[in-house]
Amino acid sequence: MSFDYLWTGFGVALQPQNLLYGLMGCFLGTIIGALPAIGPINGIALLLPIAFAAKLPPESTMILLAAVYYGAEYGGRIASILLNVPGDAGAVMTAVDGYPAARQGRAAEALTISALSSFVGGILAVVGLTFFAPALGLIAIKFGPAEYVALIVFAFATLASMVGHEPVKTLIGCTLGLLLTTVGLDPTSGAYRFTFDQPELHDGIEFIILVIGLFSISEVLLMLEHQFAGNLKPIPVGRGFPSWADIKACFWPTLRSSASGFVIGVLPGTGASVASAVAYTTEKRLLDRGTFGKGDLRGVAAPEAANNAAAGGAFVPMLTLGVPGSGTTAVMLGALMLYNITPGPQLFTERPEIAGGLIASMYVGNVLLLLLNIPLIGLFARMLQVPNIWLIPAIVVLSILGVYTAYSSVLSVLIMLGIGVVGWALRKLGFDLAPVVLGFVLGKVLETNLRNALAISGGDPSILLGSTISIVLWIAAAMIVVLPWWLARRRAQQRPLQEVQGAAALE
Amino acid sequence: MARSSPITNRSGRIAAAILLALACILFVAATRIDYAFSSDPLGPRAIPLILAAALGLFALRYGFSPGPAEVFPRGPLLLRSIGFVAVCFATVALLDLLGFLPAMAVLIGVTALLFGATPLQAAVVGVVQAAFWFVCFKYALGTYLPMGSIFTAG
Repeated sequence: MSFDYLWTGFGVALQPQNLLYGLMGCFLGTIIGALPAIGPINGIALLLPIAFAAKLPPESTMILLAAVYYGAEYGGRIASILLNVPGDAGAVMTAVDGYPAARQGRAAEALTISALSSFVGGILAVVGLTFFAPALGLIAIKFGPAEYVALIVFAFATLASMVGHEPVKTLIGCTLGLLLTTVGLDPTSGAYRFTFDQPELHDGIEFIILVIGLFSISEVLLMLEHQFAGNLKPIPVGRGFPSWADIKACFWPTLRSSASGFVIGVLPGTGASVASAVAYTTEKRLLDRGTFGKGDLRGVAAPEAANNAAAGGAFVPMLTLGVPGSGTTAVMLGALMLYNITPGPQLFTERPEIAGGLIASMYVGNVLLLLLNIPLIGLFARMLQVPNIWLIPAIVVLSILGVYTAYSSVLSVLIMLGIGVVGWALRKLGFDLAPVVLGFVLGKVLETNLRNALAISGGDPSILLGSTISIVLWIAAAMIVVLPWWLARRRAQQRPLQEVQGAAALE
Repeated sequence: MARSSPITNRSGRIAAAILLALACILFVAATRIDYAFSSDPLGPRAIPLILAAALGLFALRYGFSPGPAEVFPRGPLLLRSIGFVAVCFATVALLDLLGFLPAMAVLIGVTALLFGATPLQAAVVGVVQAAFWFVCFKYALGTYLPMGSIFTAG
């Protein structure tokens, strides 16, 4: 296995301007993660058009956006620990022990432990990414159109079974995302699809318009309803530092959670929230002697290590296969596509400055984040007090400016606002929006590969099952869909039997 | 229990009906996609047709058991939401005519007002933020921002 791409990457990541973008991304990401109003997807969606407007080269944009992503994973813990209001879904479990610890006057200790475990989780995930991505890339080189079709179906199947408790909503989200990609000119045949004679729709729906509308505007509309108290009062940070015994106690939970978080992050469709929940419940089962949920620092370390490891793991399928492992990496994949770069196995050999630059910047970024997060924690904590009357209008204007600067068209902004209202309605109905973005990002790839595969076979659909890789992926996809349903059915059948046996035993 | 109240189920069913109607419209539109030639056997119609049909089937399944949903806003809260969306659409539609600064100052001010600012605070936030973003984007990033055709015409 060659690591030439990584050395090229360090050359890119250590260039002064890219170091600056990385630092900026880490700083902004931590703030974005800390503020309950904006999550990593919103932050990236808002920054993407600005990076575009500033004409940053693709590697710099990716370094900036990736730094925002894992910066937000670090920042998410601040509001969880000090306010009991998680900055994003991945930080929910951190509040369970972090907030009680802060109330006991150990806020500084909890924040330092969480920064250290975030760092370990983040770095171990990048090490995993460094080794795992090129290895997976070697398999992916064997992928033809038929294998890509099977892979994308597999990704959707994983999503449907893992995102939320209602697979039908995930499927509807994916289908809506896929349908949106069919709008506009079909390049193969020159046909216009779903344009309804509107010239503005000839180029299709732009990615930036969709993402900003779906996430930022819908978030503002939700906040308008759920206006949380304008003046949140975070617990003061204080000046403590965890004892050596605390650090030692958190060592193994951090390592275990980093490993499980990375694996969960690699799976398409699962992300930081699943990883942190799995890590917390695992450690609770292994270690709890009645202290978890009451400010145990191991309960802070585990979910933090896991959600940062998951954030790194999500880059593996995105960079090697072009299949995002989470909603946020789906947005980053869309960002790469805006630069006409298709992620996949060739990325490591043909564009090492992007794949390597991104991975190298993650090593640098994690160190920067640790350095930023321990001494500057007081400053980040103060950001929690930014009043909504300043913060929310800024999100609205940045959303509008993001679309306007990218397309110089009022109509594009109006479409974005319309999508925002639809996104709000979907969220109110309990839909997760990540599948819509995943469907949108993967839709074109799915259609192009399906049509190419059938063109190669002269219309014979058996080509879709023509290789071992395809067959394995189709079987895996089918199992992922069928297995949970079959297990639930079995459990339901066994329950009455057990009840009858129990009743008989009582008699 | 409140989450599965009739109100929430009803909103799910209405959404399923809308999705089903959308699926039907898209299915019909997909059958009418015109093309003279396609280099692949599938052509440009097949995927949209399959997706529209799939959306219809999923919408039907969703309609039978919509699952939990949040209650949609009513009364003053609904008015606030509608007001915010209307101001967004109106100020953006007038962006080229009024120019960035006045249009966005109004939008920012109204948003601040809806989020609990006093009228004076809203005015200050509107003017300060509009000017700040204008300087950032026009001068720091060098992007085009409309100056307002009513001010620049003639």
